[in-house]
Amino acid sequence: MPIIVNLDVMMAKRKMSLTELSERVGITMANLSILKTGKAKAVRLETLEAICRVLDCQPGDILEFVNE
Amino acid sequence: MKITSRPNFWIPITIGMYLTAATALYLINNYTPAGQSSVEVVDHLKPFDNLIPDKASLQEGSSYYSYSKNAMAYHSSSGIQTGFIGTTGGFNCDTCSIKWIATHSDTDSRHRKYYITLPLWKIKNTTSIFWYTDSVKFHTENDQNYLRKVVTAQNKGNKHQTNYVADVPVKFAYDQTNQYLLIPVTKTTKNNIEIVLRIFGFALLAYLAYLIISFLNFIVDLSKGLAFTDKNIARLKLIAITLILYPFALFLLNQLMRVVFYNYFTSDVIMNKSVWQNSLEPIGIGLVFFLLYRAFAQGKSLKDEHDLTV
Repeated sequence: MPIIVNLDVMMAKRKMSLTELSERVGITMANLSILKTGKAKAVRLETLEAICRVLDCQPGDILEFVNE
Repeated sequence: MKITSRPNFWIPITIGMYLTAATALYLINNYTPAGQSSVEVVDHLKPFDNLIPDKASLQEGSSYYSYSKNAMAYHSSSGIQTGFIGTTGGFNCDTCSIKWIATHSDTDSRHRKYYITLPLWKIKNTTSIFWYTDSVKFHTENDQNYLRKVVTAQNKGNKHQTNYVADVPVKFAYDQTNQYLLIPVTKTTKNNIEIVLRIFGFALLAYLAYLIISFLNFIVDLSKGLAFTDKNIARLKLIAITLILYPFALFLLNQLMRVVFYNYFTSDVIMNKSVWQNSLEPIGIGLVFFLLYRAFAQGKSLKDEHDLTV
């Protein structure tokens, strides 16, 4: 898929673990893992908003379009 | 090149074709040619001899023997049947008397005959006392099988045609009770074919059992709340394809019989209408399963999308 999820990059920049992010965003580890590994087919705006709020970043920092 | 299928486009077309075929079959089955009328024929042939030599001594309740003429029945017939082919055989004597049959039928081997049965092939048989241009009547005379039919001949000197009734010898026999073709074979051939048919029958039975178990597992999964799974989709697809293809497979196997036994077939042998009449039900049920398959496939796709939405 040409949409790349850079969640792991942002997590590394903020030195935050998946468990901590999961607890602070309020979604399960399994769902966060789906998002992190790029298997997700859709992301709710409220989830994106929560992640951006916790990681203090813009949606563009997490999602990137790569023309294949 | 990536080929993408558009099943949603094919579903209305398939159902439309099914309804068209069903309507056409209904019209064909209920169609009687308006212009067909009996023809005048020159008939010098003696009537069918339906009586066994000592019919006069036939006791009441011995109707068993009265059917030995004209291959009406096959004594102590044994064999197996599948949808399109089978075997039969036993004592059958066209020229034997009742007394002879009563004393020799168990021990005599000369009049034991063996046949391959083709239940989906019959002759253009007419039971009417009048003759039509396509009338065909089967009978046996001195252990030789004949078709009595109308033959048209051009008169010498003028353009008029005359219809004659003629006995045309044929290689096949005919079960007049059940109306299907019988191909004479040796006992060894009959036994070998029975072995093959038994294996084929068991394989078919096993496959049928597998389909039923698949359907039961599908229902069990539904009751557990596991509706939209790959297994259920595969099960529905298999049942749908089997039901839709079954009549076509039967038709092809039936045509194959014509190719294999082409030496025995004449233009008076036709396919039984039941091949088409009985095909509508499995195709109809198959289409219902196909629609279910498509619905469950779409449901599975939506479920996946839902599951992968974070």
